[in-house]
Amino acid sequence: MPESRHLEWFAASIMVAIVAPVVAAAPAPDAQSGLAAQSQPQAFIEVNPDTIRPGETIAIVASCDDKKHDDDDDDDKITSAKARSRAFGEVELTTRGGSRLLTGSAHIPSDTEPGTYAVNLRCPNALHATTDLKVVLPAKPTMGPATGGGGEATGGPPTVLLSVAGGVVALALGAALLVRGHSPRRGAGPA
Amino acid sequence: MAEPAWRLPAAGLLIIAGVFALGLAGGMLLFDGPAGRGSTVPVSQRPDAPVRITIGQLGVDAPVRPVGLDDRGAIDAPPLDRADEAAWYVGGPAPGQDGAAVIVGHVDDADGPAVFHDLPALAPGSRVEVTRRDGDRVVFEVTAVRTYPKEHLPAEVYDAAGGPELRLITCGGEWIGGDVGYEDNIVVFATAVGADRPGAPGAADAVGVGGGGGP
Repeated sequence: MPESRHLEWFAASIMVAIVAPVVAAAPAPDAQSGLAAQSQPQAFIEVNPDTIRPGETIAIVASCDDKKHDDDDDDDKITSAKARSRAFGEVELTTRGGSRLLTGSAHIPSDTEPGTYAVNLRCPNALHATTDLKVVLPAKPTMGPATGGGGEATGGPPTVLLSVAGGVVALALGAALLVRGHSPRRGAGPA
Repeated sequence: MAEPAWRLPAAGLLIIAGVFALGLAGGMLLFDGPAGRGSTVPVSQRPDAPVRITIGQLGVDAPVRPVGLDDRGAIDAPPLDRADEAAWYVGGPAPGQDGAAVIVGHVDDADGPAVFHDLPALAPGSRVEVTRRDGDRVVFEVTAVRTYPKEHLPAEVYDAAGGPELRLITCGGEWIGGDVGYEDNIVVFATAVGADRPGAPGAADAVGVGGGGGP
């Protein structure tokens, strides 16, 4: 009886369609974090925020660690370093408390020209690192933002509607299967 | 052909999945407005950058990063590998300051829906919350949702006559590709209706300057 086969296949595919996104949405193991990153010692510098207006202050976090620190040996701990940039000159970064991270802040003068500035870390142990700081002047955009990647260029209904539709279809199919399962017509013959 | 053995379990699974999906949808629709309890504070004019945007109705809860303009004079969108994040335009006011603060987000990336995909489902009265670096959460109420060609965004998108307002911008319309992507922008207009400070023990903290950015 082809009709019943269709119903069953349709039900099975709907189940896959419902379950697959849930499985896909489960958090994947983070391959980037953890041991690989930590066992590769290198200096780094970060500024926060990395895009600002002139006249504002940024926080700087950096590290000059040149080796792995599995133990509590702090003898070779670097407690200060310098951050330099054409946007703010030079500021000193220092460790606070027991942390190995070097921190500091820098004020961006209000007459700073807009643009992208390199921020360079110079460590006493000759390690170095760099990052970018963008200085933005108040201005009206002249065009709307390019906020699409084209993954679904035809558009699509909101998630909440998909959820409602999927739920209703699943309930209906489940009920249909349940009813058929109780029907007296068993063993409907060869397909 | 014999009765498939999986028919009854399949029926059960489908019903469970259906109930789950409907519950999910109900949750999205019902959750609206500030979740946590905090002290109510005035909407502050401090220029503190936004760090998070929450739209309970759409299930959006995303980090916000500062951006400038790109080479075409358009607000920079987050990189496509971070299409689940939103971006605040540094060249305009901060959310809570007088004027139109602008937060943009992708409608999709190469694989599918992104952070602002469901913006068109917002309507006048919908709530949008923006948490700032100072810890204040500013609550905005949507007043309009409009679509414009990207080359012709009207002045009111970036201007606000009165108090603190918010604009959420994403893409819509036909896919053109290249630097432009979609031909239109969808703009959500919203007005600040209040602010609170989640986790603050009492109103006494509301006027404090603790947690400020140093000297």
